[in-house]
Amino acid sequence: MIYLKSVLNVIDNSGAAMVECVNVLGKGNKTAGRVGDRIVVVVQSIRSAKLLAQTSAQNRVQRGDVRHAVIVRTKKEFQRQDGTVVRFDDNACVLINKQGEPIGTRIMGVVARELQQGYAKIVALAPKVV
Amino acid sequence: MSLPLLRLPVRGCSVAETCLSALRSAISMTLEDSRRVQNAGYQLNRKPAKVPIKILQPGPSLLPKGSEPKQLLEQKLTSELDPTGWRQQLFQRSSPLALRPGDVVRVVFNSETNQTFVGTIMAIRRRGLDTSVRLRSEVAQLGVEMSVKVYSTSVKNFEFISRAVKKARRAKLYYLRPDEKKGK
Repeated sequence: MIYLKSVLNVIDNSGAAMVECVNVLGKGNKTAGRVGDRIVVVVQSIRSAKLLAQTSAQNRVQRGDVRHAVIVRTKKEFQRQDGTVVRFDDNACVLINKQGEPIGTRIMGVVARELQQGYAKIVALAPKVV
Repeated sequence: MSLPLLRLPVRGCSVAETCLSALRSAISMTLEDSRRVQNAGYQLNRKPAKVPIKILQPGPSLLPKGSEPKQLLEQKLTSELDPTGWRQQLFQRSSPLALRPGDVVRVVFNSETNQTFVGTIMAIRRRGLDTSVRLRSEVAQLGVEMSVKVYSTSVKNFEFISRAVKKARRAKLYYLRPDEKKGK
């Protein structure tokens, strides 16, 4: 359940480390964001320069940037059609541009299978999909 | 118009009569009206139904008398969803092959890629056909929990990997979750 003021980990190499959710897009008023939802975030902290070296200068994000992101993991459990319930130990997102493509070039960590619909590129980049 | 105080029922006089007499005097009904009210009780102005109400007879019983439909359904579904009975062998408490909390198990799903999930059994929720197992695993240094419905058609197989090192002293191992307050 991601909504205003929720803090998420960023698991790509865009440069951001932690972001704060400001808005959940495409949903009704006061509806929380779930895995696969698009959100507007503010970058709160960035990663060390060593990791940033891999991203191009134009894609690098700064502290205070307002970006779009897609939720890839939630601590709040979500249910699938076959009755399986999945829960991660943290909330995480991947920064995307307005067209829905990831800004970074690598994804570190697990993502949920729900992203297959609409964010196939992220699923392809992810090392592990649950 | 002031309403008279309702007196307590006098011996030999019912509460209903006392209330009626109070009502009567309050609205100053005619004697005839009051008699009509008394006789009709709550069924005032009852007119005969214009369309006769059909009274249907019960149809023939689909199940033999004395049978329990819920049990029959459960048996039928269990035989359909688990014909070989391996699910019952793994999840029935009395079975010699029964899984216990703390065991490591691999779930294989019925997908094109044969998606699997390996995890420690945190909890077994036994509800007949609705039985589910909660598995916990560390995937890329992150804890992931998955609650799998055992009788789901999307579950192909449960593979037993290893027994718990030490028998868990609990049925539900929620303590395996990281403590949020302390540093990890």
